[in-house]
Amino acid sequence: MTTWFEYRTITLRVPWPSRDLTDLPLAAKAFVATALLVLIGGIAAPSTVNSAAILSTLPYFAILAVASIGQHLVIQQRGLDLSTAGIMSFVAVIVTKLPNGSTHIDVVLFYVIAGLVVGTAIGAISGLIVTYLYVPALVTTIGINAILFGLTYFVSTGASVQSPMMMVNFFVGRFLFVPVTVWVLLLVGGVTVFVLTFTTLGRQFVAVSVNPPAAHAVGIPLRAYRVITYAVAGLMYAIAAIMLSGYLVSPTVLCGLPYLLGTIAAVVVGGNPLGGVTKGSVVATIIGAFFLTYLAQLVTALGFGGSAEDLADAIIVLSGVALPEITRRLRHA
Amino acid sequence: MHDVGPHNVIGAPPPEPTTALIPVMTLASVRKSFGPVKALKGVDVLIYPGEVHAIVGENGAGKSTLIGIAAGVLHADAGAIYYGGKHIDDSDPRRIREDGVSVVYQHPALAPDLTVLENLQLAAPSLAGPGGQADAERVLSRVATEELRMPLNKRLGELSLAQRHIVEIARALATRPKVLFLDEPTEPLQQADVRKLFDLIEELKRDGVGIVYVSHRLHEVDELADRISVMRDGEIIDSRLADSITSAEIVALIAGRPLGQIFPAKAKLTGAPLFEVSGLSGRGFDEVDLTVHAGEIVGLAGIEGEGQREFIRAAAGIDRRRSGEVSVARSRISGDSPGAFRQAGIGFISDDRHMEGVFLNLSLRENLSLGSLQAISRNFVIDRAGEAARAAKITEELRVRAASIESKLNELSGGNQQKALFGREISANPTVLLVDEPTKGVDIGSRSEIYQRLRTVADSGVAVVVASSDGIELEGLCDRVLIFARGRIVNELTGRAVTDAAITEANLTATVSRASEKPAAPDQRWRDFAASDHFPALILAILTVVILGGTHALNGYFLSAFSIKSILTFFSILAFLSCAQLATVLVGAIDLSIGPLAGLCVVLASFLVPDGVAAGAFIGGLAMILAFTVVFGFLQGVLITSLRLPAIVVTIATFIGLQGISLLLRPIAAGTIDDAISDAVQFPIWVLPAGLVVTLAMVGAAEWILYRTAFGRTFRAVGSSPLASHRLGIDSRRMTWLAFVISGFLTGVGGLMLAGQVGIGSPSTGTDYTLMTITVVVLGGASVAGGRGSFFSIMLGAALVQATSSASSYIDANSSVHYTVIGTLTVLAAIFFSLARRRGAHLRGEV
Repeated sequence: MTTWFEYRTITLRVPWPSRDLTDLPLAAKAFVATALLVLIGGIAAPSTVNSAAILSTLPYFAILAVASIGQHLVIQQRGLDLSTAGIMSFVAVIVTKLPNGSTHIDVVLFYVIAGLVVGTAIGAISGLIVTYLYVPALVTTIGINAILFGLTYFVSTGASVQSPMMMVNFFVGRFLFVPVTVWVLLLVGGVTVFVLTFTTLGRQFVAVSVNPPAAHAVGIPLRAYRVITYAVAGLMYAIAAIMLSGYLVSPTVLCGLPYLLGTIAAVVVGGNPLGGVTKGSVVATIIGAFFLTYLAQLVTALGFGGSAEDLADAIIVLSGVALPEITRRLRHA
Repeated sequence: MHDVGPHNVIGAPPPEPTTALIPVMTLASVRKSFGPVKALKGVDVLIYPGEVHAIVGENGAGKSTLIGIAAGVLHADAGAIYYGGKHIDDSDPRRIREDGVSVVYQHPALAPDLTVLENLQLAAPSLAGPGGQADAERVLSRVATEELRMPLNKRLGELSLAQRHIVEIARALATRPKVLFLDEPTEPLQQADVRKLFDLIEELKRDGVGIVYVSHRLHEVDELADRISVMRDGEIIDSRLADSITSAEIVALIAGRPLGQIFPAKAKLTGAPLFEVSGLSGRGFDEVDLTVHAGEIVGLAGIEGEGQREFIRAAAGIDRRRSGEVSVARSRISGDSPGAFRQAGIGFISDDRHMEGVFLNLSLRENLSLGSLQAISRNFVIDRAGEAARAAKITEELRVRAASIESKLNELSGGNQQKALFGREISANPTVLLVDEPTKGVDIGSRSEIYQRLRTVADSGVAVVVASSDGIELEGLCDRVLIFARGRIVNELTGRAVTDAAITEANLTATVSRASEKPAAPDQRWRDFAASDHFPALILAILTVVILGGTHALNGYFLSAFSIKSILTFFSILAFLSCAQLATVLVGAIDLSIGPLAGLCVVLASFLVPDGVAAGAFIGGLAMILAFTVVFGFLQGVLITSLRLPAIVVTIATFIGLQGISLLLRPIAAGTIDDAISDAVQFPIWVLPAGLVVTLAMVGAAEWILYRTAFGRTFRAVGSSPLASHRLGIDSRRMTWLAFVISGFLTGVGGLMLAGQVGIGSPSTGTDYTLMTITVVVLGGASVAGGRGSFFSIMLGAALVQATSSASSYIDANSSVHYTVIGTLTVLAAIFFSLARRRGAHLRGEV
């Protein structure tokens, strides 16, 4: 581990590059914004910051965060994934309906793995269509999403089913006082951050997103990275869907629906640029997911229904993209 | 002047020299900077009627910037433009064009999705009137030889490069200019076409048109020019009448530049052949052979567009080769990817540093590592300490000046960025190093360092190839220089013969005719049809009939009088909403909020036009809802155009927000909507329900506006080519904003019909329509990238989707078939159109 510490000392010796707040790293900015929200929320509705409330929020946060990591990767690779809802709903049906209430661990595990494989495969199909058949990501993923809605209705026959108890017990449970879903997030997020920051694969991934022609010129296989990005995103949605199925006990048929905007919102709230160009930060996206989850809880605690939550989300996303542009103009004016 | 051809008029006085005393246009001390780069440092140009004023100079001398300013596309920082004795102070390209100044751009300012005629009309609205078609034919026939003639209704994107250029020239002539700028007009043309163009220029001269002719090609200038100005480094360094300047003088003026650049000593002896290219062909070059030895620096020279740049890129594996072989140290490279070439030991430095060289938003450390990730990692894990040490070492060796290795590349000067790029490639230990323009945009100091470095690399046994447009650089640096012309090596200079003068001379006198473009394959016809706008309409109509008939055969109740009525109403709704979507897609945007906005209309109707409302209040309610949707579209448009936010993100947010508002207003379905709406929609006009008649009328009107009016042409041009629109002076932001207003209005009408059909204030209706409208737009053959689409095809797409949707509800109770079919249709149609249109493009040699 000496390498890691040496690296730290090197970066710490670097002169602080920021001349004002806008130059702070993305994750730091997202953290400050979230801390402010929690502070205001804590004053306005103290019930939202007690330990019970936080603990009940955490699983939703973890699920949104894992799905958002998938969306983050696609957006960083200059795409946009509108099949989040479809993949999540379809995988949820695979792991709830197909085990047919089985109590055997091997059966449940089989369908969980099947769900993961299906999610990855669907992502890969979108990636192939976008990369090799030159169909815009928007059209591809919106079409794939509709097909998956159809398959979801077909497999579920339109009724929600209870998840296998084993899964429910696992995902509702805690380990070392922390919800299992959060452990999954830590694992998935940790691996993603590690791969992106410390491996050659991550380096090449970032190179492709920041400047595709230059990446092509140094011999990085662009197309492979693009296809893999969509596949990994599919895997992330599948993991999120499995956690959601377990945690909700009996998920509704289209349980993935809120994650269509939710994941994009998390990426935007995290301050990540749309369409690659600069590096982006997975940690900032994860913090963005917490921001949105807490906001939803706050809106509910303040006595507004789910509709107000939609409205708040919309306003947050709009200001998330508009504010940086407005401040940039004000500074240049 | 030497080389007096049969058509030469120089030597004899210009036809009407006495009328040519007052300049028709004057550019006075024009200055223009791009960031730190001074593109024009106070340039004066006088343009006399009936005179050809040639402007010559190397790449980057500022010629194109000058043209941009004269055309009003660029704003000058200082200086003035006088035209016809008046000072022109507004830079509105449209005004300047209408006043009589036309430009033939090197890269045509044309919209690829519009036809030839429409492109001409875009610049010259008079061609849209009666007799316009004949006028357009007349203009084209003045420019094009028989081989290059094309039908007026051909889409521009389907033409060859030479044909597009012909249209570009015709477009400039169509406005009957008094001043005509031509920027490298002969680039893609063959001998006969050039001849025709020259005759045309003579004709225009006789008509008293002032012509500015910008070219690299000295023999053309020789033949045409009455007055010659030489540009260098943003200045006009000499301007004389053509008969008082010789070709040799021009060559000296173009090339002449402060010497005193320090170059390293040349190679003493070279080693074994390391880099061998045989019979390499690709786009822009044919059958090129090249052998470079260890320790040797070989230069590639040629005027821009003669194939040397395309060749070096293919030799580096960056662009695909058509045929031929590349070997490094006697082993042939088998793969086709840049990765395979790199693996074989080829390093490459692009001429476009920002686009293709460095990663501006990454740190110096990351940039230096990206060429040799294997060297700094074990089992894919990067050794960060090793990486930092390595980066620091390269930085020091190449003397890259940066605050730290963590500085982003965009914080470095151009010269230091270039040194970093060299550092990245050299540190990867290549066997062969291919460099395209080693010192483009690099200051004098860094240049010397780069030359020294290149020589050191060669001395260490690397084979180096340098493509450069700078003769002095090639003279000072290279052991051998190969001259490219029309895609082939036409000359080789070695040893003492490698001089700037010899290179410039060889470049400018090279006249080899380009291998002619291959004619289009004869089996193109079905593809042309498949790529046309009529094809989707036909297929959609057939499929709709098949689905309706098939379902009726399975279920005799399907086409009962009652259900036909309902299918037609839902069809009208979908047609309106899809046309709303098409309006935004045409300008290159998208509107995901259409579905929920239609849904909100239903909710609003349940409040504003409740059951039994009075007639006055009924009309008022409908008007308020329509006004709301228009204002909403307006606000969305403002957000997207004034802040330049991506339409997809804005509308995905409003998609959710609108659903929230609907739910807030009607948490559960409640509030009966007045029957009068559905009565009005169903009201029979002859045998058709009024809703359908309105839909047909709307589609007809929209299609007419889109294809028959100047507004429609402009609308499509914005989506088809933002650059061409900008050059033609079209306000693309206003068009985008209007598209959202139109979208809001059409969604409002569709939403009201939906309200009549639903009959109750349900909060969740409508949302599904967003997906359906995108499906319809894709099925209708519209290009999601913008510029292309037909309301008529969209209407048939809506018919098919509605037929499928209605049929599926007869086949199964839940929505599985509906969703699956719609999704599959979307993906398959998108793939089909993508391939049909792309393959067409590929065959024409673009891509």
